[in-house]
Amino acid sequence: MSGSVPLRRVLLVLAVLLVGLLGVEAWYLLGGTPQPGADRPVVVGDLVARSVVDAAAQDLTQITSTSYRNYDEQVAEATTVMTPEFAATYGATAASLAPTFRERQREIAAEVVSSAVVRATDRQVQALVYLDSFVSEQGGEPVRLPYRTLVTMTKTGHGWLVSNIETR
Amino acid sequence: MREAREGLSLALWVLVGVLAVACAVGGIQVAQAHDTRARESAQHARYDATLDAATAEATAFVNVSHETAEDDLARIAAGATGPLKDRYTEDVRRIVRSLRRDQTATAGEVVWAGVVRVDDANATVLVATDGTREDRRTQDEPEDRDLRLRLRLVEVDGAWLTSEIQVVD
Repeated sequence: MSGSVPLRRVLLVLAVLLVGLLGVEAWYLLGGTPQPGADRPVVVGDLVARSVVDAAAQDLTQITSTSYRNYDEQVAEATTVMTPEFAATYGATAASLAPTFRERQREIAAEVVSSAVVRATDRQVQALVYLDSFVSEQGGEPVRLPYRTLVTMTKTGHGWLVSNIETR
Repeated sequence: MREAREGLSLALWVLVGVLAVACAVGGIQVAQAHDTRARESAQHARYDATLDAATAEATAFVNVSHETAEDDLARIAAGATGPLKDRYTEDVRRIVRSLRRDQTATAGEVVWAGVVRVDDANATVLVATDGTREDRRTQDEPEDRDLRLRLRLVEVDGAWLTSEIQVVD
């Protein structure tokens, strides 16, 4: 092994070049995730999108399936899958509907027909859910009501939570 | 003094060796990440392309008037393939007669569209539309016609075409 000055300089230059190359590699590997835009509504993998859409459909079923028998408990349980902001909005709406549920002895059983991803990032996913709602009052025959619902899921410190629901 | 120089050289050799191994490992990871990102980018582009195609086809499907029937049906056929295209090309006369006889006119727009699944050849897309329908039965008064559609699409020569439109009742 030679200890000559030129060789040490070559090694030093080589080390600097390799550090630079490592920096470029790190920059590439740590590069930011793609952002959604008009031309890229979905910028997460299929598995992530599908799992969050499935969670949205399941949460929507839980939220919309209610009964006059244990209305308050079901509303309280439903808020556990919502962001605090949406839970407050939902709680106010649910409270205003409570007398109607009790007077008419209303029961709703919801069933998901199909679901799809509308937009998705690693922070927020919007799912289109076709939902059938079977509504019965005073023990009567259930009436099927078909809905189209947009469920917004937001990633929080407690996982993916429902942050908005729009129904048409 | 000479021992110190040799020690410095050895340290430099070790440093270069470690950096070279790290660069090689990093290079492999960069190559893998590049392939993964290319695949993901292609898949993300498919979401966009299938949503655009399904939205256009659903818009054509919910906007058909007896007054412009041939053009409206041609618009549906333009975004279709297979049996759906056959229906809107081979059965045009019969459909137009029916639309004119009943004075049918539908109008609508896409509210939301989402992808159920998509790969490099097939896709299933849900499209929710709001709209109206009027005909002799409604006495030319528009009735609400809000639909839950499920479209099957196939990739044909770089374009996504609809092979089936289902109304999800």
